[in-house]
Amino acid sequence: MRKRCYGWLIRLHPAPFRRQFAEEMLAIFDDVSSCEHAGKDSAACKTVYGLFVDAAASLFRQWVLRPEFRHAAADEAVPVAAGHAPLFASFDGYKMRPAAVLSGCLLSVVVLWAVAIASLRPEKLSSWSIGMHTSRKSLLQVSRSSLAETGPDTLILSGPEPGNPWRSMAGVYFKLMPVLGTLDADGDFVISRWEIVGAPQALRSLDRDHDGKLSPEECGFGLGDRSRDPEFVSEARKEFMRTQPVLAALDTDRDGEISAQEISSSSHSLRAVDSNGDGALTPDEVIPDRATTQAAAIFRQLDTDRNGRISSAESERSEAAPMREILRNADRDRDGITTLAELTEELRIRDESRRQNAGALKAASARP
Amino acid sequence: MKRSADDFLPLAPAVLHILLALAGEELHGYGIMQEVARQSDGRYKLGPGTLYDNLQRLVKQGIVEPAGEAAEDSRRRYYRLTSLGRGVIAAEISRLETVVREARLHIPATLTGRS
Repeated sequence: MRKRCYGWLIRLHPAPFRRQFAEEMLAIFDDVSSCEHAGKDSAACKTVYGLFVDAAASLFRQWVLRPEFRHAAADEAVPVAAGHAPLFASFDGYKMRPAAVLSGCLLSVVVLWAVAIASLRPEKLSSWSIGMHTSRKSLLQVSRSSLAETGPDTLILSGPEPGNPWRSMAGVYFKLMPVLGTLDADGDFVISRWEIVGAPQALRSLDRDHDGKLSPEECGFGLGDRSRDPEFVSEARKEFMRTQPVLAALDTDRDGEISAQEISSSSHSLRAVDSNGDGALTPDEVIPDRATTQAAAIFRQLDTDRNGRISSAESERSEAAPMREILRNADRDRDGITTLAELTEELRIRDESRRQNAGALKAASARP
Repeated sequence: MKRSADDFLPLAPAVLHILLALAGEELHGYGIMQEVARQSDGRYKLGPGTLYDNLQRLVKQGIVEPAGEAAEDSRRRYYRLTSLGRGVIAAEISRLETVVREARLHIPATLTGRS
């Protein structure tokens, strides 16, 4: 048993030392052990346990104080070519130190954990991330004189796309309409498919008085101090909810408020506004055009019985005199009744005609 | 660059004893330990760890060389001095003689134990 323990101690020595002297040390152990059994004083150590102390000291000495012999053993494995020049293949004999391998493993685990934690909490490390998460005009501006000389064929644009007036209007409209500003979580003026899905939660955040429903004021309606007439204010609130496409879609029962039930079903209701069926609400779908707003204002003034139609009697009233020609043209089916849709269509045609005339005049004046 | 015997001086006590033990004949490890104990009248005892640590270095320095396995036990290996080793032990003895001579010249006889 003692010899086995001593053998373990010897085996813990560095391999070069062990290969060279292990057998001899075990032979000495046998000599000392037999001397001890015979009752003779060993020449080297008085007891076998002295050998254990010596082996433990040797273990420390070889690992800590004699690194040159461990490296020298690796060098001995270097094959030498016939011309006494070391071969590149000699590097195969190199063995990494166990401590270096252990350090490398620990370092790899630490780095892996750090990357994993960082990927789980990106918001905490946004300032350390490489690249930009939001576009900025200042980052896109290129000011190099060499570009002017070479005539670059790449055009870098920032801001709204040319030819899309809806986006420029959307910036203002989305600010005036808290419902749209809240729904458009990423601020790109498009209510995406996922933003529509999250509409109920977004709309509930607008409920400032916590009554479970959204009033016109909570949706962006406001007259300031211009009118104290309760009837006018009431009509104006309803009109506001009717003329804004998104609010009109949400207020399905047309009572001028978005109830809790309507908020819950808002994801479904908003799809009615998606006229092109692309799954998202773009500015041209959510911003009311001029004709719609004007038609609503005319109806508010002339539709005295609030039945949604302007009859011939209503159009004959003195207040309707300036609008009489428009109402006559709008009544396409000549039934003497002008609906809101007919009036809106007529106003849209007139707007388009006016815009074309203005364009033609501008082109004519620009011509030399 | 080839080193001379003087480059290894002075020798450590363990090395001196090992070289003295090998000066007479080839010895294996246990034989060296016995010879060292005998030379020092049992006052200086080498353990196997210390012995083979020194032999490792002495072999690398070219002072001692293996001289083959023992016929009675293949586990044992004999060691002997090289010519460099003989030069080293001779130089060390010469150095020690000088030290002793100087000591006798400068230190009173009573302190050196001479009558």
